[in-house]
Amino acid sequence: MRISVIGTGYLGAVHAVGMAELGHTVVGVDVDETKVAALSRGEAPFYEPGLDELLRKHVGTERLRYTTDMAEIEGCDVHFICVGTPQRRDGLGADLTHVDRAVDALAPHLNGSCVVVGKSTVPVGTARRLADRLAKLVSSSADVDLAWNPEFLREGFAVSDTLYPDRLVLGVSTQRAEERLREVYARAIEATTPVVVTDLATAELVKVSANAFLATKISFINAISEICEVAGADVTQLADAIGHDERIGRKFLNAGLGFGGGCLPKDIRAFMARAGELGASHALSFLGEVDAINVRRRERVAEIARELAGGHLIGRRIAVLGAAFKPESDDVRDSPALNVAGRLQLQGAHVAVYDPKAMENARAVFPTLEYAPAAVDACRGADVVLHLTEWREFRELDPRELADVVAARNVVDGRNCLDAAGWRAAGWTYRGLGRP
Amino acid sequence: MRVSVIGTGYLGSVHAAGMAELGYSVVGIDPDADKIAALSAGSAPIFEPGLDELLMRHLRSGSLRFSSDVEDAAGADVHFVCVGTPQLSDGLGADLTDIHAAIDSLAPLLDRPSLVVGKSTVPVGTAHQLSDKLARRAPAGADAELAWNPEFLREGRAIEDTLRPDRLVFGVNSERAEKILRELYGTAIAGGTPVVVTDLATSELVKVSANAFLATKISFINAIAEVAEVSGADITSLADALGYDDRIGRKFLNAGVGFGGGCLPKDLRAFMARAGELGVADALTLLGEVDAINLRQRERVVELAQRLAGGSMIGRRVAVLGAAFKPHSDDVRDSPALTIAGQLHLQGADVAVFDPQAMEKARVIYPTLEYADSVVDACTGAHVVLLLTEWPEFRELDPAELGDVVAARVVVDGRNCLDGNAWRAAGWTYRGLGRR
Repeated sequence: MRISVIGTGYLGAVHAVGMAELGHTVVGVDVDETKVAALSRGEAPFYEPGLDELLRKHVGTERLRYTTDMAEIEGCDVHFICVGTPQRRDGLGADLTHVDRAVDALAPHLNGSCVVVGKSTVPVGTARRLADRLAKLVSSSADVDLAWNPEFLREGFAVSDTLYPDRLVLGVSTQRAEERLREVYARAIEATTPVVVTDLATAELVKVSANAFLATKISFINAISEICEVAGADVTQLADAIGHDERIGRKFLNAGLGFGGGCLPKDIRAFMARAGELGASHALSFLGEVDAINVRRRERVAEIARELAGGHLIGRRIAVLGAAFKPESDDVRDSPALNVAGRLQLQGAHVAVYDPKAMENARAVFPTLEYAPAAVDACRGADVVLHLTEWREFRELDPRELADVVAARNVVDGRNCLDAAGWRAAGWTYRGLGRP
Repeated sequence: MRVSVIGTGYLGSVHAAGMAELGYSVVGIDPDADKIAALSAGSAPIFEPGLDELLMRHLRSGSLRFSSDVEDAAGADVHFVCVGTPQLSDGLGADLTDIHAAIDSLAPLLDRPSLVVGKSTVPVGTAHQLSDKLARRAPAGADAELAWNPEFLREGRAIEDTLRPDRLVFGVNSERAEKILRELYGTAIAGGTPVVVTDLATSELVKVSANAFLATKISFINAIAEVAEVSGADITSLADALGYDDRIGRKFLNAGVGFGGGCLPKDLRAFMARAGELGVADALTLLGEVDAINLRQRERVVELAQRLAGGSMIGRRVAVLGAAFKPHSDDVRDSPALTIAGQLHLQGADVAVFDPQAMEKARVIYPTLEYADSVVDACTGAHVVLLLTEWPEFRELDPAELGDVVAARVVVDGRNCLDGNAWRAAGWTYRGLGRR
């Protein structure tokens, strides 16, 4: 099939390559010339495992090309809209400017029979509105359907989530759109990926609801960890015990510093805002609690660091291990690790940060922190070491070796994944969240 | 091993029968002589599939007996405390009178090394208190040890959950206690049941946390259903799409009139009360939202019934299918079905209730409702039919047949478990919650 992908940010770049890998002929379109130039050279604008290899494999062949010229989408059977929907500057809702602009730019180039498929995360009702807009803009010779097929990419696993998704949600208004999408994803469907065929509104809600649930699950266990802390219980063992219940499940039940990144926080806020517009704000007020619990974890980690530093942070040296909002990613948007680092610095600490992948992005948003070339350099002379992003190399640190370079053996494990007994045995004061 | 079970309510009677089935010599103790007489005759105080048979078998074989005299527990090696911990009549906390009374009466009998195992759901910190009390009052002193082993029974599946639990949680202070519990549950452990060994406080928290999570999951999907309703989406296909994500899971993701019963609502409130006592009320305000969402679903059904009945309930006949708080149970404590029936009755409706098992218990607490002999009787002449408990026989109702006896073909599916299309095809106005 001939496929166009509008938008070459995180979602669009991965989706275009994934479609090429599935055997389709793909053109990726973006207004940003530098992005298009980089992609055309086979360079992804961000770090994602496996993406560069796949990009180099397909770009330059007839399978995959990138352009800034919207006219090149003409003749495609399916057009995917993969542009961003950031949080509005003036509120909690989603900014739909890019989506609207993509539809406007796309419409004049549509001819014959084709399907426009939204993948971006949008407030419920957007797809219906875009379908109307599209119907007004396209020429009478074109036969265009709008469908919604939300993305469920996990950063760090995005390539495999595109090629082998755990489910496909097809929000369609016509049989033709369903058939066309089934053809696009034929390989995954043959490999027994379940398909949920539904209407546009439900498809839009699936994505935000899934994110809202995951956020709720994380904040739930973090709220329980606050109780564990005052009751002297251990939230890690508690999570193991309740995780055996298949109605609950162990995944996303790790207490710690909480969630961040470019999606979860913005999506739940946009979801609340949209419920308000629909006159059902009470329905989602619990998400406000979920958000508050999450932000409270950042305060708590800063508080523990201050306690360990002797009650105040002025002139103290703090090592922050981790800057990305999660491991296997260089994304620092709303990163809990950097948020804590920033808080401590504002309270007078001297903060040195190290992250295996996200240093450059971190420097761009927090230029005044110190960035060390390795974990051991960040820790040199530190009064407190904070472990804030769960990279494997941090779990494998040797507490005895690290002990030799720090000024005081204090470690705060913001991800509850270090071996507490091992660190204590090496003479460290170990503090987790909700663990004794 | 000889086992005593203190308290023969729901939990105690199932546990006593289960321990006998596992081959132990069991005595069940309860101060309520009527209960003891009934149990000794093989009649359980509650409806639970398979329980009567199990009781009868082991009463006959002599491995199980019941007594109202706590002295009869004296010879046992392990004492399970299975008494109730209801909501305080003057607050949200748990009433611990019975559990303290059980320890007070048991302690003087413990003159040799013995293990007392709490199974009841209690506020965190209770076990530690009871453990001190036991050591002070038992002639054996510190050799009369306390452990906590929370129950995870699902009504309707309680026997299976006792014999083949999906996990075992041992809250222990010593290796000896762990060893005894491992021996006691040897069959399940050999069959692959995972064991989480932890401290007393964590084991207490496991039970309330698991319940709190399940309540949160149900309220989550109900909140989303409210949004689905105002945006024209369909909560059932949305839940299917969410459920394929293994971090979420499809179970407990059915939108409807919400949870009730003797455990979830009370445990949730007791948990919040306890967090307040511990000085971290903030941690659990999320659960306050969960409780509010849940109760709101009952109001929504009442409002929907009103609208469908034409605005006023006066003189309208309403059929309520279901009285138990969930199927396969005769438990009507805090039952959403009866709460809704009661409210409609108070608004002037003529309400006829039918439930396959819970009629007798419903009559005790709502004596002024009409109780019909069958679904057809309840529905005869009804202006609105409400399905409020998900019994399989209700799902299998033939809408065409039922259409002949009602005054108006209007059905509210409070459990989203009927085939909406089939009912509509038979001329019914079908309304689910969050469904089109």
